[in-house]
Amino acid sequence: MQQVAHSLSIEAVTKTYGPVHAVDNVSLSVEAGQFLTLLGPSGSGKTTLLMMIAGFVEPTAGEILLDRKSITGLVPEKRNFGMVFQGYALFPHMSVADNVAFPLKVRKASKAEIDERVKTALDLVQLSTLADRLPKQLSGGQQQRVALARALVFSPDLLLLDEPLSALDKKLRAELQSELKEIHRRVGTTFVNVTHDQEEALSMSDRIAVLRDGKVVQYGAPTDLYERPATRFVADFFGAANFLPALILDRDESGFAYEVAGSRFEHRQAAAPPAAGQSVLLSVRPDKVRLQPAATEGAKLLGTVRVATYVGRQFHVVVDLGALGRFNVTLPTALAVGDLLEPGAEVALTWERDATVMVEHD
Amino acid sequence: MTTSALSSDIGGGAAGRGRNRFGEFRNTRVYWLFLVPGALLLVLLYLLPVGQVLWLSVTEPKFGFDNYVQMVENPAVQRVVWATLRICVTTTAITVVLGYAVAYVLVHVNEHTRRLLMLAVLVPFWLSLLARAFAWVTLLRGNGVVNTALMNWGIIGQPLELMRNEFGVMVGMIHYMLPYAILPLLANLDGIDRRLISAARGLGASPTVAFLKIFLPLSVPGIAGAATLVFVFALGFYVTPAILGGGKTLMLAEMIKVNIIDTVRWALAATLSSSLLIVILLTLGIMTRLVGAKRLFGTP
Repeated sequence: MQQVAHSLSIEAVTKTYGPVHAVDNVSLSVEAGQFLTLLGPSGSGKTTLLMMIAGFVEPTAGEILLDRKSITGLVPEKRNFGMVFQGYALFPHMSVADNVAFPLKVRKASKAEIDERVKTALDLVQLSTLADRLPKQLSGGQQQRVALARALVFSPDLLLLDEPLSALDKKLRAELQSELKEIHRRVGTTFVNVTHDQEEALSMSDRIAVLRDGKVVQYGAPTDLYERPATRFVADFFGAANFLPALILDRDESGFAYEVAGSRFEHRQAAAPPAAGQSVLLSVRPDKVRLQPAATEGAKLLGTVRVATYVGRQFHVVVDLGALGRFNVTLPTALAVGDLLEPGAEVALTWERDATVMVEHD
Repeated sequence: MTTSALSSDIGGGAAGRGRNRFGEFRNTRVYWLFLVPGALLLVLLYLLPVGQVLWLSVTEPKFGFDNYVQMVENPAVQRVVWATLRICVTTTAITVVLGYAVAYVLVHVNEHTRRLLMLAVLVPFWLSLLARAFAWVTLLRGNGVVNTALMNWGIIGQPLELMRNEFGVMVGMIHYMLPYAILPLLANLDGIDRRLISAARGLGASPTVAFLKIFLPLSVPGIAGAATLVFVFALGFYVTPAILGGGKTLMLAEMIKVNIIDTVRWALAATLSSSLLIVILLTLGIMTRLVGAKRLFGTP
């Protein structure tokens, strides 16, 4: 099933419904063979954008190009894209094999070719033994696999996935994430996936576009987005980040020093640090904050433990910092010190100089 | 409150769970009582007379199936049965096709338009059958609205024969039965996931192919339900054929009436009635078996 992959460019695409900008001047490009995820909360425009790529929704303005050729005005059936719908949309009156054969039949493929391709596609998703079943006789995970086989069987130029795993339970979702990634690697087609689940996006994608209110907030590789979120929204979206309003004290070539609640901290930053006297917003992830006895020496924030929740591998601790609000801290169970986890315990929070990320307010 | 009071009286010192179940059981029995007046009316005024008709058909003038043999061999009956079947099949086919088109539009328009269209479907439904038949007479007769208009526009020179024939009967019947086709079809088409059509198109099917391969096969239960309902209804049509057929196009129900009131051949009338009843029950039975009662009658 290895095939030629295609690149996709979205150029200044806008979709308005009356006064509402569902998608607002979005530009993105995906290289051939990449796995792109459009990530955002509901109402962010990610599904509308996918539907415009698929051809079900016409952009109000802008162009969509496949290998630099415009496909903006093309009807869905002329685009040759595979699509896995939310809820799968399997044809209930057709067997698994007939569902998978459907795109080949409408393309008038020969009987022999249909049989061979259906078999290959069902093998790919490990469903060959269930070819004669009806969709309603399958589990959710199996239906999802049929939808995937049906979308890939005709060697589409692009595979579009609309929240493909959202209907599955957590364990199955994790399983199918790695399976989907493996299938992507094997077929080599360019994938465009839509989801609101940041974990799913991080684990499967080569590139992630974070959308909010119809705009792309940040676009990059999963590690970029997780380690260096550009805005408060992105930092928060990738897992309950903590935010610090900080005052710049001084700077040098490797970063700057800042003040929070009377303590002096340091921050490492290669690119253009802000000037002394400026106010900035810093984000620090819960797993990078350390929980220590209040008497600890050095730069620290003092607070009171509100609640500590045991979740297996780690503890989630909420620390009240007074005027700075509440801080989320996660610490490995092995490192947890009983006294510091009692509600009411006075603690100090510290972090390394490369733990903080400067983010924009949004 | 009432339930627990009742059941504790009866149950005495029984355990909570048992008492509760006993209480529910009593309640169901009370509800059955509510059905008694209706059931009595049905038995006295409907089932008994129908039984009498069935009885008459095998005992008049002597016991046996002679009446049925004579009926089958009677050329007048054959002609009427043939005309009835022809009218019913044609009417059913046209009604279901027209009804499907309306139901298809209804499931695809927005909520507001749908409410307006539903009103247009239902208003004639509430009008008297008789009033509608006479309205068609006004429209279709020799010097009626349609013929006058066509002649005034110079499209035709002579009035067309629009009624007192099978055409007129069918126009009246189709008009009357359209809602009976639209409503079960609507229930069925509403239940078809519209994303399936998007999925089909995304996979390369043109709108026409998506309709023929996906939407149409999934609406077969609705079509079967609507067709059964309309066909069974059409078999026993009396008022519309009597008025629009003008005595020239005779259908089974009118023939029965003629044999009861005009020629007083009760044996034949009873035999015809019984046969009609049996055909209707058979049709319903077969279709229920094939499609399933739930899908056929569109229980949500």
